[in-house]
Amino acid sequence: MNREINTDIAGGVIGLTLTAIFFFSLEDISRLSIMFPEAIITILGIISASLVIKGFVAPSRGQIFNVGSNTRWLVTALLFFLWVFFIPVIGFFVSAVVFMTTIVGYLAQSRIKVTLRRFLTWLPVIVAEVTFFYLIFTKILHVPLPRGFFF
Amino acid sequence: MLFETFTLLLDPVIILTVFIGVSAGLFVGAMPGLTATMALAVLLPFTFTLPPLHGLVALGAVYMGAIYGGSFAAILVNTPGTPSSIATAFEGYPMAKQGRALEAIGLATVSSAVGGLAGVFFLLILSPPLARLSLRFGPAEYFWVAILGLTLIASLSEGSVIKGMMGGALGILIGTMGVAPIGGETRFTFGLPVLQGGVAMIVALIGLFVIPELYTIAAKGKTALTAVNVDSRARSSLWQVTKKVFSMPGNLIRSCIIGEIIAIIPGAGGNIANLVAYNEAKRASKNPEKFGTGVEEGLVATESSNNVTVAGSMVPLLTLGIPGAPPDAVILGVMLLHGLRPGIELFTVNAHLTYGFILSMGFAAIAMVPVGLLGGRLIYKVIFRTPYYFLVPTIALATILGTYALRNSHTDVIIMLLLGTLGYIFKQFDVAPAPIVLGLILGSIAEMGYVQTVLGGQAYTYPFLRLFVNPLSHILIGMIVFSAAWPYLSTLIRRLKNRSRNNMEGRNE
Amino acid sequence: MKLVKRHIFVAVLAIIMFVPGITLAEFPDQPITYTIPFNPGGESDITARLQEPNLEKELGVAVNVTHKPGGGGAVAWSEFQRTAKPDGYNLIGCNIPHIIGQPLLRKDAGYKTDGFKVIMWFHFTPNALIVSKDSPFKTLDDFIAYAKKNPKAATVGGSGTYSANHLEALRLQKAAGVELTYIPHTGTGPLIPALMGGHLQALMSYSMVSVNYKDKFRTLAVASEERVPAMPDVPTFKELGYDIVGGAFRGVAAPIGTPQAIVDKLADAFTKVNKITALKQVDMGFVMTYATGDKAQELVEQMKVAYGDVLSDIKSKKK
Repeated sequence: MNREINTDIAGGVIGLTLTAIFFFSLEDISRLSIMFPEAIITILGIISASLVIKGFVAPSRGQIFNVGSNTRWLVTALLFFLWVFFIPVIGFFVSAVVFMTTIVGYLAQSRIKVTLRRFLTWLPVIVAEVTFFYLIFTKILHVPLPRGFFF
Repeated sequence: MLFETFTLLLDPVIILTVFIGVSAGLFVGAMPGLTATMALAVLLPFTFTLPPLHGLVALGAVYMGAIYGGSFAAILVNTPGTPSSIATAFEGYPMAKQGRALEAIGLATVSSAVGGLAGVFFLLILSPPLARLSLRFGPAEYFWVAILGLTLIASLSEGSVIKGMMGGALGILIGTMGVAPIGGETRFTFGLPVLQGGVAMIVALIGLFVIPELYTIAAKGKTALTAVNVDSRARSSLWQVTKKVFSMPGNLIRSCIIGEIIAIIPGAGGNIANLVAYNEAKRASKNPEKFGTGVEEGLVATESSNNVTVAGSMVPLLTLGIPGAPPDAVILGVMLLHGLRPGIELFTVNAHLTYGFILSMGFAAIAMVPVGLLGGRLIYKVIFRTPYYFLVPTIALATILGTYALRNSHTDVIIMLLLGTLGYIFKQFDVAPAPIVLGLILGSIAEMGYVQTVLGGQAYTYPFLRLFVNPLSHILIGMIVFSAAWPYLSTLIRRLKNRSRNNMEGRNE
Repeated sequence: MKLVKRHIFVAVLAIIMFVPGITLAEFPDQPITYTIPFNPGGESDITARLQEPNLEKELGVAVNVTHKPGGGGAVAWSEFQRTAKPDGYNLIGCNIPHIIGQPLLRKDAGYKTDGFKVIMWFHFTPNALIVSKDSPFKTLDDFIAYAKKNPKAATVGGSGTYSANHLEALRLQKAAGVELTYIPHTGTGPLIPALMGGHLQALMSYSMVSVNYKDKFRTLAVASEERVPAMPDVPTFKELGYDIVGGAFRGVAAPIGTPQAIVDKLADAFTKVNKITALKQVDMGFVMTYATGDKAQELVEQMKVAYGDVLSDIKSKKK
């Protein structure tokens, strides 16, 4: 599929959007706290605008989202977000096991046939991995990892 | 005196401490999110139970190992394990993609050891004058140092400089979120108290480098690592990589000096040193356009310069009691608790302890070679043998844990993931992650320098003119102008050279 | 119906009788998390690290020191007040004047000054006005005279905005009727090279700086009630005619609602441990305080009053 676009204009528009987001969340606070961010917002705006102008004058074109399967990275991204969302709910350990298994199962589909037997061999590996990290972080580094319903 | 102290270190317990410390540091460094500062803080209670020398030796070894360990993740998964190896990923990862992973690890190891030893050398020989130099940096100079750092964007932005500048400005803005360093009020918190803490540089670093890489692996359905080919295996032996590293003496010396100068500036450490050294290596290279495709000079420059900063940043620490980099603050704390006050006493009354500590860092640098080569091979094998569908969630697990552990904050994990996803989208439009991270590192330095200078000049009519009064500022401004103009100058010089060559050839005909 | 009531009655009775008993008899029986809202390496962290092994000995369980830096402490404090369970296993380091100033001056700091059950304030590091050894200012009078003659020209560095250092500089301005230029830095660390390198004329910093750098710096006055044991030659502001006493108090707190018996037990342990850490800390310029129970709460109220003036000045200026 051909997804070639003018990356200058697209990048510039993203830049202008971000400029606007930051600009409108500027609050009325003391000059010392605000003078530097204000200056940078202006600079970001100027750079983004000139990028858009360059996009019309001397555009550089490029393919976007042309690496492999877009569905696959989008689903992976979604699973990451769900994983992180569930950490404080069901605890670090359980969420890691659940979501790692799901991600492994999902990504493996493209390479091999996923069967129940495979899952049963993956699960102990994943549990061992998570336990390894869990113990290092809680017992040696004393990081209080989030707990959930179970532990 | 030095020799006597040296024999003191030949105690098997000390040697064992060094090896354990380096190995532990290596693990910490290789995990994105775990920083040297954190490792040292965790170690602190243990050191109270040890005699002062053993305690300091352990801290030095962990510090050394952690800065080096960051290179593994950079080479094998394109993720700087610590901010000190951002530029390592630029060359190390392409090398790994070409099946030269072991070679890259070997080069990083030997360069790091050389850098570590160079830092010890500077610390032993040049402490007093260097310490005095570090005091010359006031707020105005910090501002110019930050601007000088921002000129690196031109070489980090992979193609479009204007997009790099956009990324840099965005990075600076992200860095201003949270409590203002001066003024004390909160900015861009979007009404959420959790955002008072802002976006930690390391959180953004992890997000912007790791997450896009994971998405790419997922989309492609395979990892980018290629099996090590026979040719490269031969070139990765210790003897061959050592020869290679020493075949570029100019690069080594330059990178070590850059590392040392940046190390003595309080507050700047390996995170800036590696980028500057990389940039200078690129500028000095005969083929700068090849950088980014797995060039050995670039790798050697970054890995030697960042390990110089370990012992290098102790120069202001031991002589003046000024931590040159964040992990040094922990070491200063330990020294004060043992009743060791920085200053001349350290080198007279407590000379055995001080010199023992310094020399042990040299030991640690040497210990990195066996530990690193073995560990590096092991990590390589594990990563290479792991199928891609296992690698993605495993790296994600390490990343989530590391990010969380940094400030024990779930919010940081969310921010990391959001920024990473945005970073993947930015990458599509050729906005590279490196300038954004550079903006984050340098933005707060620039802001503080600027606002402090203006504040300090309240008694003058035009406070901002105080930025331009000191001689050191003038030197820095000169360097900025040169650095910004260099790409144009170099093309001009090349064109002139070509023309004269053409003329000569013309005459010969 | 009756049966149900009886069951409830028995259950309530059981809870009343047993639960506090159980927690009392067994506390502590699991690791205690002790959060430090600042970066590793600072005074709060080093203090906690010194306490850690002694507390473990005293309480018989592991005490895990962790960091949650950000927002000058506010990130950790607001999360603690929102989520920490009041069971005695969650403790957090607390600092005055941070917990007084931030909720008052920020739009939404996310926590309240009175939202902690303070177990103990263990020490106090008074502010001190410090100059370089080669500075022309030999006494506080020299400094004040210079500042009077040259408004805004005297640059005073300190750690943070609206921090202990900053508020003290503001109080000095008010008390002496001068205009200083206070320049905030991120933490105490960067102040040292700034003064050594001559980029500042004076520091408003903590007594530890005076002690640790006594070969290089001279302390003009210290903001404590009495002279600090580690530096007997340095006069207090009070002796010199300025009613300024202030600095940073460091302590530890539990969430509101933690059973009093547990708080008392922890206060007891921290008091004992504080006597051990005192051996090291007194020489470094710390002033030990041992304020527990009602005394701890009183201290907060007292400092609220002490800083009230400058804080309301700042607030009115902002509007």
